[in-house]
Amino acid sequence: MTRMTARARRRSIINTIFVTACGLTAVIALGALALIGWSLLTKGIGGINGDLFTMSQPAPGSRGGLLNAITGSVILCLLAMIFAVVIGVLAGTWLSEYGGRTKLGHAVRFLNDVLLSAPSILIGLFVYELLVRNVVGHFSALAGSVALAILAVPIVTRTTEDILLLQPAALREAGMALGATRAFVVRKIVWRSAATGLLTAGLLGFARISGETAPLLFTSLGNQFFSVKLLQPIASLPTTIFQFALSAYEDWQRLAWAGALLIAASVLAINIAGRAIIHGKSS
Amino acid sequence: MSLLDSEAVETYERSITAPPADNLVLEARNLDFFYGKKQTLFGVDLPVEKNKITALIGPSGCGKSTLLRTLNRIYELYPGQQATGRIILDGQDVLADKAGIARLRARDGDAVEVTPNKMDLATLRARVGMVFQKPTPFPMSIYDNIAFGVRLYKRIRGAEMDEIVERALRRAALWDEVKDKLKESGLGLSGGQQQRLCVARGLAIDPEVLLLDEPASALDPISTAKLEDTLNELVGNVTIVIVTHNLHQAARLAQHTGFMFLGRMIEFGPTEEFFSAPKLKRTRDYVTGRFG
Repeated sequence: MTRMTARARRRSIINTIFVTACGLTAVIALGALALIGWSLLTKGIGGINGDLFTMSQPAPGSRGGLLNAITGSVILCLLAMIFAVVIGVLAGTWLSEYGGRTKLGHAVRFLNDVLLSAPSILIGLFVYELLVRNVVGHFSALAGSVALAILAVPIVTRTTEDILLLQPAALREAGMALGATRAFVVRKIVWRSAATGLLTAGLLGFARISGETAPLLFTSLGNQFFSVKLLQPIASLPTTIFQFALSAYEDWQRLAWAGALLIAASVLAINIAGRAIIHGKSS
Repeated sequence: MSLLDSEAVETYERSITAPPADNLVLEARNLDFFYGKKQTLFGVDLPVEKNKITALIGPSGCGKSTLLRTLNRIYELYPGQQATGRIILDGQDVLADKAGIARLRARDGDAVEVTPNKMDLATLRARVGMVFQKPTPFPMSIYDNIAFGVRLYKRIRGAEMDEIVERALRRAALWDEVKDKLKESGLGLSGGQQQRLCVARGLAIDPEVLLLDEPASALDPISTAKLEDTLNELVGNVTIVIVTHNLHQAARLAQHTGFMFLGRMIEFGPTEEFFSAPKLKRTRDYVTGRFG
């Protein structure tokens, strides 16, 4: 009996240590997040006003906002997500429904996973060589969105494949047993059945690219003026924040904080909206 | 391994009492099936009488579902699965495409006489419908679930489609329960209703044969009874082949019953005789619960 209690005591000590360690790391992680959120909020909220959304970036010491950067970011992300969702969903569908078990399928999946963790600055350099120095010949919004798309594609591909593989085989068989072709079943039944998952794939991709700065420095460059031209350099929130945060001017720094808050808030808002849609659909 | 080998060389006593040949709508003859290199059906014969219910029984893994899945060639979804033999639907050989004939010749020699027949899979599956073990409603409205298959073959809409949908739901005895919520999702129905929805979906394209793979195994007793009533109503209009684990269900529903064992059709005959006076000891042991 005494041996049992000794063992029980040892177990309870180990258990306490383990639970404490888990709790501590959770507190550290969440604490860091809370600190980031707090400093964003306190330093950024002062810069949020009407001018922020109606005026483009100012010269130091004069009135202005981030309209050019906000517009640029919306264009860059929207275009990138169109590329990424089309390519990623189709690639993920191919992996899940057609070639996933072939040698080519395994190779594609492996390369996709490598791309998933590729440094974003490398992607920027690649697009710089491809589109900035060669095809287009100068910095452009198009190059920026292509760089962002390359970052988002592997996430969308991976998530799409995972989600489609979760759909029951019986559903596909039922469609084909009615005489439909495989492609028809995928489009009309499997995609529809996985709709909320595909939305999640898009959201994850968007969350990845929304704050990316490094690939944009080589591609869309940034633009101090308002522009919506796809073949010209375009401003974006991350590059503007990068420029303003490093500057010596207090008003620019304030704008940088406001921009950072904007990015965080929009990612949060889109995630919440996505979850609401998913929840609304499933209930 | 040694067990399997000894069983493979054992010659199986067989007793097949087929319905009159003129009444057959579908017939499997000497059918082998392979999952990759593993053979799971061995020279199976299955005569299916027109507009009657044929039940397939046997212990788990005996090949009932595999046999069913060859009849509409749904197994072809998976690479590596192969059927060799004859499956004759209204005089047309379902398996007689180029590769099928080559496999048949490789097995039976050059004397095989088969008319090549490039069976279009969509046509085959329109003529031979299938309902699965678990209900498989599509993620769309009840109405669209039924219309989905019809739209594959006919350009129909409006009142004409409404009529087809209603008729299919009535034949599956589901109409009264869903007529007020046709626009609601098929996923919102109960399990039993979903399964009858799947029956209705199959019936909507007017198949000659409907294959059911243990359709009641996921249903409660009341839903099962309703499904059985539905199937009984269909006798005389459509041919049904049903795989079931439930011997009573086979006895209640079917006009013909086949007993499968280790990938072979051991005994086949009229249901009444099959259960009251099985010809073979192995069948007798199974239907009296002595093994299984």
